[in-house]
Amino acid sequence: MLCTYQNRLDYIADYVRGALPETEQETFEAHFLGCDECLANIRLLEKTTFTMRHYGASIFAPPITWSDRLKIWWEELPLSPQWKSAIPALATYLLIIGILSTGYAWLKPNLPIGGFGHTESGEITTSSKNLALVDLQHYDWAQPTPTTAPPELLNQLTEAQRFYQEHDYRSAASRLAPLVEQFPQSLEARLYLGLSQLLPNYTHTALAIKNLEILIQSHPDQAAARWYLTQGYINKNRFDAARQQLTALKKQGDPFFGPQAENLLAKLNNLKK
Amino acid sequence: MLTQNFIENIGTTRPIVMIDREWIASRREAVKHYLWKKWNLNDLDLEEVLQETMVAALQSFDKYEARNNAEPATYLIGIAKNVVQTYFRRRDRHEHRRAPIEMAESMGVLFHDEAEAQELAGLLREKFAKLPKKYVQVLELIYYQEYKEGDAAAAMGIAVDKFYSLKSDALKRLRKLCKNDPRFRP
Repeated sequence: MLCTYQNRLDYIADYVRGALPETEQETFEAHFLGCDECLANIRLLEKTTFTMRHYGASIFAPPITWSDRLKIWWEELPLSPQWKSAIPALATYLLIIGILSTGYAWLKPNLPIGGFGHTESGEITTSSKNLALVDLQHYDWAQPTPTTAPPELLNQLTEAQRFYQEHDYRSAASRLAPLVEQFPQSLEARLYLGLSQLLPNYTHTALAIKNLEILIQSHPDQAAARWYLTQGYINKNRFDAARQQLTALKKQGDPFFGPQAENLLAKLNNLKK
Repeated sequence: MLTQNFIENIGTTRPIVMIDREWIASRREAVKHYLWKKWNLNDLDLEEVLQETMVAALQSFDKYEARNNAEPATYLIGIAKNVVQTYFRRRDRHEHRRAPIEMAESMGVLFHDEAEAQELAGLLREKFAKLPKKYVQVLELIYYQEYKEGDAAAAMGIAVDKFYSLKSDALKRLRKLCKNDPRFRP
C-alpha cells in the first residue's frame, strides 16, 4: 500500500505529541490503522518520546566528567570526616614541599641536575647515570716561576699565584688573562688561566678548553694541561675528544696523571657500552 | 492477506484495499494503539474494548462500502468509536485523552515494566552521545521541556523555519539510530 506519510516523520511525531489539529489527527488515524510503516514509526516515536519526557533529566544531563567521577569516588570512600578533611591538606602540604624542593634543586647552581654539573666537592657528575667521572681537584702551582721571564710578567704571575693558591680562581683568572694576551708563549700564565677557568667558583669551561688546547699544541708533554682539558671535554659531553686526550696521557706515562687517565678511560669506555 | 485492486479507468493509482478477515486480524495492534492513544483507557478496559472492536469488525465487514475513496481503516475507526462510546455509556462516563500519557498507562502497551523504560532511557542517552549537539538540544526542548516550536526556536536563538528543519533532521537521525535496535521495538 502506498504511504502518503512516508517522508513525514515530523508529522507523525506531531501526532504522537498530540500537536496535530483534530481533523488532521483523525485523517492520520484513518491512515495509520491500515499502514504498517506508519504504525512502526508511531510506536518507535511513542517509545522514544515517552522515554525522553519521563527520563529527560537523566538522558539530557551533561556527561559526567573525570572531576565528577573523582568527586563521587571521594565522597563514597569509607573514611571518617576528620580524615577526609585532613588528607587534602596533607596532600597540598606535600605538593608544596615537592615543588619547593624541585625548585631549590634547579636553582642551586652546584647541584647536578640536567647533564653535568659541579658538586660542592668539585666533582663533575652525570645526573642521569649518577656516575662520578671526574674529580676536579685543585692543582698546586708547584712549578718554579721562570727566572728568565720579564719582571712585569713575574710580578703579575706571583700575584695571580697567590689568589690561585687561596682558591680565589676568579681573581686569579682576572690577572692571568691580560698576561696571556701580553705574553702568549708563557706556559704558566696560560696553564693556570685554563685551570682557573675550569675549577669551581669561576667556571668558564669553553674558554678553559680553548686555552688548554692552545697550550697542548705548543707543549704536548704538559700532562696537567691534558688532564684538565680532558675534564673540560667531559664537562661538555665531548667524550670522544676526552678519550683521545686520555689515551695520549696514558701513553706519556706520567707517574701522577697516567694511572688516573687509565681509570677514567675505563670509566668512559664502560659508559659507552 | 491484503487484496489490492487498482482502479485504472478513473485515472488514479491509489489502491483500494478490499477488507477481509485476514486484513482485519492484521490490524489488531494498530487498533490497540489507536484505542490506547485516543481514549483514556486503563489496561483492563483497553483489552476489553479492543476485543469487542475486533469481534464487531469481523462480524460486519462484508456490509462495508468504501465511500468517496475512503481509507479502509475508517471502517475500523468507526467501529472502535461505537464500541468505546457504548462501553463508556455503560460506565456512565465519556472521556477523551486530554493529559499526556503517564507511566502507569504506558505499561503493557509501550513497555512491559518500568525497568524496561529505565533501560531504554540509558540506551537513548548513549545514542544521543552520537548525535550532533544541536539535534539533541532540539529533542530536549520539544520532548522534555515540552516547548512549542516558536519558543524552542527563540530559546536556541534561531529562526522558526530553521528550527523545523532541524527538528525534522533530528527525528530522522533518531529513527535511524533506533529502528534497527530490537530494544526499541514493541
